[in-house]
Amino acid sequence: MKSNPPLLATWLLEHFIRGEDSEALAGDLLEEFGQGRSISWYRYQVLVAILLTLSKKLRARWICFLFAVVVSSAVSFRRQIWQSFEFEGLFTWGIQLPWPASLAFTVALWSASEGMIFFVAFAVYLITIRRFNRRNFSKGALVALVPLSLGNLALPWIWVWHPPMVIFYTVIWRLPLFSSLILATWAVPPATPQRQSATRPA
Amino acid sequence: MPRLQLDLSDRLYSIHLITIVEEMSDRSHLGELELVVMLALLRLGEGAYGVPISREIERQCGRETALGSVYATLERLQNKGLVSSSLGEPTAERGGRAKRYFRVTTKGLRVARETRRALTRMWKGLQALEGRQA
Repeated sequence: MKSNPPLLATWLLEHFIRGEDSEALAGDLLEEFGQGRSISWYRYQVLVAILLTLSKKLRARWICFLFAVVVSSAVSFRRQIWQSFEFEGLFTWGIQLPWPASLAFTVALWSASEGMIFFVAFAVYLITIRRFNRRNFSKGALVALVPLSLGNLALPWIWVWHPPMVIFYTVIWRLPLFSSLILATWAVPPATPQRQSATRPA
Repeated sequence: MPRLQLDLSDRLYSIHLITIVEEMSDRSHLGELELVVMLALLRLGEGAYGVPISREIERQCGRETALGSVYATLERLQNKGLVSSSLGEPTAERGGRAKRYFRVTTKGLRVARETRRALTRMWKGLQALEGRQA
C-alpha cells in the first residue's frame, strides 16, 4: 500500500455509516486505495457515502416531523383542557403559593398536561408504525422528558418578557411538545423494509 | 450532423430508460441505476462485489459510479428481493474487512427479462434513433 488512507475520512466512514454494508464498503475503499486510487478519490467516496446515508435517514423519518407538527398544532384541543373549570381552579390555587413553589407547581402542571398529550400521541404513533412495546415507549418517553420539562421551565421566563400573544400561542407555547415529539419519534423511527442478511461463510 | 445525433441518442436513451422502467408495474419497477447495477451483476456472475461492479459499470457505460451509490442501489435491490448477498472471508489488503458478494435472485432474473422485453418494444421503429430524420 502506498500510504495510509486519510484518517478523518476513515473515522467519518466508520462512525456515520453503520450496518452490514459499512464493513464491505470500507473494505472496498481500502482495496481500491491500495491499488493506486488518490486521497481525493477516497475522500470523495466517503463524502458520497455519508451524504447518501443522511439522505436515506431523512427520507425515512419525514413522517416523524409531520407527526410532531400535526400533534403540536392541535391547539383547540389543548385550550379546552386549559380553559376547563377544574384546570383553571387548580392553576389559580398553584400560582398563589409562595415562590418558588408557585413556579415549580406551574411548570409541573404544564408538563403534566403536555405529558398526557405526549403519552397518548406517542402511543398512537408507536401503534401506527407497529412498534408499540414497553421498551420503545420508555425509550421515547425518557428522551422526550428533557425538552418537555426544560421547555416548560423556560415558558414562564419567556412570558415575563411579554412576547406578542400571537407568537407565544402559535409558536413558543408549542415548542416543548413539538421538540419532545420530534426527539421521541426520532429515537423510535418507523421500521425500514427488512432485507435478507448476508450469509456468513461457514 | 452526426455528432448532434449521437448526443441526442444518448440523452434519449437515458430518458427512455428511466421513463419506461419507472412506468412499469410495482413488481418490476426498476430505477435507471438499479437496472445498470443488475446488468453489471449478471455480466460478472459469481464473485461480484462492490469494486468489480463499479468497474464494470465504468467499463460498459463510461461513467464512474461512487461505491456508496452502488451499495445504496444494491440495498434497494435486496429490499425488493431482486438481489441476495453473502459475506466472504476478511482479507489483509482490505484492512481485515470481508467482501460482500452479490448475486441476482430468480425474481431478479424475471424482472430483468421483463424489463428487456418492454425496452425492446419501445426501441423498435424509432427512426430518430436510427440515424434518419424524424
